[in-house]
Amino acid sequence: MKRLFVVIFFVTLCVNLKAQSFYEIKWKSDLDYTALVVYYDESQIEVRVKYTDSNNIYRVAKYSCDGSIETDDNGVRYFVFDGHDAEVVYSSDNSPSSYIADNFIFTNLNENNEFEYLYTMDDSDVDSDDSEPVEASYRPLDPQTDFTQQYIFNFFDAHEPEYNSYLGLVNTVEPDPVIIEPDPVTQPERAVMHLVMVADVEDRSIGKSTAQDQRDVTTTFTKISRELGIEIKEYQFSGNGFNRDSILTNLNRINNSPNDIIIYYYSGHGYNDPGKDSEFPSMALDGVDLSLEDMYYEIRDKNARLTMIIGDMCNSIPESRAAVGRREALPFKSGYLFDNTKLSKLFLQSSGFLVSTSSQKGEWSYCMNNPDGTMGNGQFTHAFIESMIKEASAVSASDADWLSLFGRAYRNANLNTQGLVNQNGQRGQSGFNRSNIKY
Amino acid sequence: MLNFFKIMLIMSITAAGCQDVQDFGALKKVDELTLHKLGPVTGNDAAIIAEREVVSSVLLYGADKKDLIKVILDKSNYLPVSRRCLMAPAYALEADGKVVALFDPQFCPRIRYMGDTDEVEFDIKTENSMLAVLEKIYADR
Repeated sequence: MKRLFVVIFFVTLCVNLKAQSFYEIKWKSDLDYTALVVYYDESQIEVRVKYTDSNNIYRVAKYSCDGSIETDDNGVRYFVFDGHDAEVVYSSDNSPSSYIADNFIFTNLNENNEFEYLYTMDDSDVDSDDSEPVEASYRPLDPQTDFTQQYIFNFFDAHEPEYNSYLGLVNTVEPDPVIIEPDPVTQPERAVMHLVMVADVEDRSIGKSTAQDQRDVTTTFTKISRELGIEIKEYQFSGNGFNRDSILTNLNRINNSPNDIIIYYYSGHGYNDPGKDSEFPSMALDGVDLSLEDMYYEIRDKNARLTMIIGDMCNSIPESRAAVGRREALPFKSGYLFDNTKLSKLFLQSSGFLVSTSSQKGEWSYCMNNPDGTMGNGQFTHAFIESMIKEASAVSASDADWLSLFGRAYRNANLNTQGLVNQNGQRGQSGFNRSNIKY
Repeated sequence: MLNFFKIMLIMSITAAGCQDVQDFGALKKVDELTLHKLGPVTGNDAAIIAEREVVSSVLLYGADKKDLIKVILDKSNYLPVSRRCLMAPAYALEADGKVVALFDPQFCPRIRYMGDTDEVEFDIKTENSMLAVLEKIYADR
């Protein structure tokens, strides 16, 4: 740990990690180290490192990491897992020991969108010149195939909650899809999830970002519906369908039952219309615009059991008093490890409304920019998906609560945009919602 | 804490591969530079640029011309596009008879520069040096 470890390898999944949230990193200096990395989101990365020291004592250390994108003096961006608060949690001889947290730096993004180099070093070596690069290996982990009782026991003691949580992910047989039987008294019909996805994918400035949102939001809710064993109906509005008439006409055609779920998700430009006196923004559609609040009233009248209207858009004050006319994107993502009980509480046992937007009145919302210069998700959409995964995760200690889910998403989007001064003079974007959801 | 990382990363520099304000450099050689102030279309007989009405036009020379070119070329004023607002251009820059840039330094701060063969866009930082120069240009008139 007192030396610089340079791990040179090709990481094929550093920027394409949509299906995994466990990783194994190995490096060698005077000792052999193996780290099990559990990635929840940029603000929660947990690491366990196992090693046998020079006295042949087997030890396990743990620490947390914060993920961030940094830029060097030449404008080159790299991704960092900044480790902190390390402690040794197991020693085979029960002797006390200490550990200095490691930091992992992914850099040199190539044309295939892969990081070519990974450096790791602990905090004490940052200002030291005594270092040399060392080759090592890396692999992502699939709990269903890579986790065994022994593998988990290498890092966690049997009394630790993670031991049983991770053991529960080990599957040798494909589980039968969970079918939630409706209560014939209170839920006469099986719920259907209606996903209305509206995205300005053809916009010259942010089209790539909204297209990413469209894909990822659709994927997330599709996976959730499969986990729950319920039907999902998608209504996609982009390109020629990105206009008020098309959206409202097709909304009116949705024939939902009282037990259904309607999720309306907008990703695109927005602004706070001075002529409307609303805390919520208007969607900048082709042709006539429509406010998020008006969309709430439209969908509310459909009387679904659970209704959500979510916008990832600016809420800034435009220059003119009239509506703005118009012509007519942490490379890492968490994996989907859902807990069906939590999903059931969120989607099948809840009722009411929630209207959410990604920034306060007088604020812009932002897209993410990937290390290779391309656009990623909207900051809020990325944080929302990560928060959804975490709130419904089989390995997190969450209560499956919508307000907690959205609160975390707003906080993380705000943290990720702290470097930007907003239109209202505040740093970052601050989303909010109005809700009456109950369980 | 990251000083050492910066040293190491010099060893692994990659080309940025993205457009930057060097594309605006042609402005330095321009003879005639006109700044148009833009607003919503009112239906008058005013000229239209980018679906916006020309409210006033200023032919720039001397210190005003030099100062505006300097802030336009100052890359510390820019960030990659990330704001989810729709720019309604507040200004258009015309160089030797051709509109080369549209920008709004305030409400949805963004600049779109139209070069000979390509277009580039940047977000303008909330705290930028353009506003002061624009204020000075219009204060003189």
